Amino acid sequence: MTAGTEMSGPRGTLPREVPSASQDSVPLLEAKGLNVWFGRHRRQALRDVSFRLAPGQRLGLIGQSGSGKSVTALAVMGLLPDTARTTGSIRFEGRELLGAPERALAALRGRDIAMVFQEPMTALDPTMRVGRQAAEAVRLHASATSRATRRRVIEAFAEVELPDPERVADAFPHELSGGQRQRVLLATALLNRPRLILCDEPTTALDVTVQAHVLDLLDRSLAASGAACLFISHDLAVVARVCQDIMVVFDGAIVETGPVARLLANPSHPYTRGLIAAARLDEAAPGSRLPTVEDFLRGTGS
Amino acid sequence: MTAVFTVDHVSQVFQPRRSALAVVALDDVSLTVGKAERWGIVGESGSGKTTLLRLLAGLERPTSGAIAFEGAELTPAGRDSQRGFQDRGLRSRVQLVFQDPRSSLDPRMTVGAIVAEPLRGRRRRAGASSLSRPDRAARTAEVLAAVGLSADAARRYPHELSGGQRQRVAIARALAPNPDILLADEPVSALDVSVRAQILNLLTDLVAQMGLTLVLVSHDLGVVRHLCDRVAVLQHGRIVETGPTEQIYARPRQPYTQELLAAVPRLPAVLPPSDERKPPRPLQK
Amino acid sequence: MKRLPLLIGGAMTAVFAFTALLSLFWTPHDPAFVDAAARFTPPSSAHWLGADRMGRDLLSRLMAGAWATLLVGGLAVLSASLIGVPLGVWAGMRRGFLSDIVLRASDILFALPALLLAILLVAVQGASIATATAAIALATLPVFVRMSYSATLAVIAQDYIDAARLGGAGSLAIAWRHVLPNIAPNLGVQASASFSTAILAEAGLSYLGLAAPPTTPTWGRMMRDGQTDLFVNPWPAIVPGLAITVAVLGVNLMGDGLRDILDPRLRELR
Repeated sequence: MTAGTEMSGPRGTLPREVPSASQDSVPLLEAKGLNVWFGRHRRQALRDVSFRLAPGQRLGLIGQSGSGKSVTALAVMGLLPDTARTTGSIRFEGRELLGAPERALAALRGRDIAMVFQEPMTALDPTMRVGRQAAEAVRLHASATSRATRRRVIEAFAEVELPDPERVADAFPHELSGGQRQRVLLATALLNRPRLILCDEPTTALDVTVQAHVLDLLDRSLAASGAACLFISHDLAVVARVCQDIMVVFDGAIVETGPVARLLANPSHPYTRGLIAAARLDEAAPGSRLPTVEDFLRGTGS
Repeated sequence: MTAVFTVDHVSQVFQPRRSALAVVALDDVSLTVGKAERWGIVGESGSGKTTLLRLLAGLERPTSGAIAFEGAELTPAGRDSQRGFQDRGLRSRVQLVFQDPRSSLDPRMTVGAIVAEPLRGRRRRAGASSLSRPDRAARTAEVLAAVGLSADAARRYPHELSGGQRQRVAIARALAPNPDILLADEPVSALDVSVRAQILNLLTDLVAQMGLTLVLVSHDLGVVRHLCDRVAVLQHGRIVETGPTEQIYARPRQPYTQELLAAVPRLPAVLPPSDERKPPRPLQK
Repeated sequence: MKRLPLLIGGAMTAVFAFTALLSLFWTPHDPAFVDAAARFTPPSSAHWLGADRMGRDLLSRLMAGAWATLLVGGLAVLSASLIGVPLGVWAGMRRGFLSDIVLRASDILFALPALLLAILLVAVQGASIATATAAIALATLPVFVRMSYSATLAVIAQDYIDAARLGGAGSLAIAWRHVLPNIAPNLGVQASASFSTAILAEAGLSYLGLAAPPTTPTWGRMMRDGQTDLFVNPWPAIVPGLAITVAVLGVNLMGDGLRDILDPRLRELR
């Protein structure tokens, strides 16, 4: 029911088993009562965060910078800095991730859970050809000959519609455009056919036109691979383009959650109402005063 | 009515050192910006829109063509590119707001020192408005208030402020020398969508109150539509379409403009039938 | 925890500098006084660190040597940075034919070994503290030119430099108000690294007799004097050797600590 239904063309068929209905009852990812504190002053970054993600589900995590969106992703990846103190539980397919040994987490990262970062330039090693970087992701998790690996990398590059994938694989990051770099990262993330992809503001650094293409591509790739997705963004309009469900984070806590359509039609929290108003820039009369999130939090917004 | 800026067949070619490849950033661009007009320059990164803005600010000199500011040439040949403004005491009249306040605010200066810097002027140079220290402090407090920052923000450092507050500081610095032309390079694209509305409201108010001439560069036609009455669409260093904002927004003639318009992410206006979507998942609180 | 290297290194450097300054006013004995009866005394109440083959008090000579080391190292690093930093900043802001020449010249200087420079200078000027200082300063100069050049390039790429131009600031004002404060952390770290290299260079030069005249006690000369009797009576060689180790270690620790605290990239991770 997940894979293939939204396929728009012949390309992008990463063969992978379709999650059956019975798997639906076991969440792919489940966070329960997650609390995170940072640094000497014990600033709380997450407060009692709980959510579930079913196989193949796409969940948007929305909030402004500093609200705790990225902390959630880092907690799932086990990448929080040493200064962080965490309580609660994060389970991936029933296995507890919090407090799991680093080796177990490393095996999970890149294979079952992949991540696409905001800034494709800093997520790639500037001194290494991108094809080799992608191949490294494969070789860390499976033994394969270098020729077979290269073939897989080039196939993956072709699937994310990189023009001339052979040439791109031999290029250094700085020789590619921002959109191409983000495609390389997406292809690398998809290489090991992960069951969950974490996207942390994957299009914020891109132009609008490139953003539109990358979002389209992400939508198709997720549909084709059947992977679930936790999509982090400050932009409701971007999230709505990819996800079915949305979770709103405000000041480290989840204030509202539900399917996109219901949330847009009937937001309950004033912060959500503010976000929706802010995202509807093109509906305001030019030059008129735009409603801000603060208006809604103060209760003066319409 | 005299034009503020007359851009006449301007090209800008960058020749990187030790490289045979020249980059054509602007290719035969002509544009006239009238007094109190609000222009939006739209295009993707690499279209040359930022280069055009830097030329108008006098930060660079065009490879060929000429730019006139109120009829006189902005950057006469053979001079330091700054002198054209400087010599005529015009420097303070054209100010620029940069895209990313993390890069445009010196991390080792307090907000007060940042905003006061354009008021210090150059010593010995005629025409430069150099204010005394108490006058500078008074003006700093005044512009900080105008952008909605409290007076004690002057003692803070940029890293102590949020992204939106930092952009307010950048706007305050641009307004400090009381310019009548404001240039803005993607002033909201580094900000959260939720903060964007505040900064757009601030810019709208300031431009109206001070009667500023505005040239705003953005890749987001939604932002341009809100702030500008005229649009120039740049693609690969060429102007492909110009006209009143409403007209270009409603009836774009060029396919490139149509593509730009379509790319702006929008919330779905009507609700899709709910049975096409997955049912909501029960969440444990 | 983060500041521990800085504290330890700083304390060691402070003790070193204090000892050097103290030697100007007071030493237990006259460092040059020859007491035949005290020849090769091991550490005792009269001579805390013992005495050398001529019966001169080792502690007194060590303290006087600290002053020579501090003077040569400090002056060398100070003059190298006073000349090198403005050159590097200018080259970074200017970026043209002239600045290219300066950078190439500094690269050529960098390629010459410090020792060769010193021998060359001594051949012309004769061995003295001033010659040693000049040689070490010359050898250190290109490091400061390079470092401030590349740090300046990173700073002037920032938008706040253009913003300052738009505010009417001239090149000098930009260099003074924006570039120097922003490259200051790099400068501090580089200065401490260069200082520890200078201490070693001074010891090396005076060991070879290319620095201070034989009458001036220096750590390098003390080691050379002591080496003849190393297996019979190790004290006179070990004491200055330890002093050099402690001074270099202290200054290096301080430099590492400074970098940990000043590097904004490391700071953000906290």
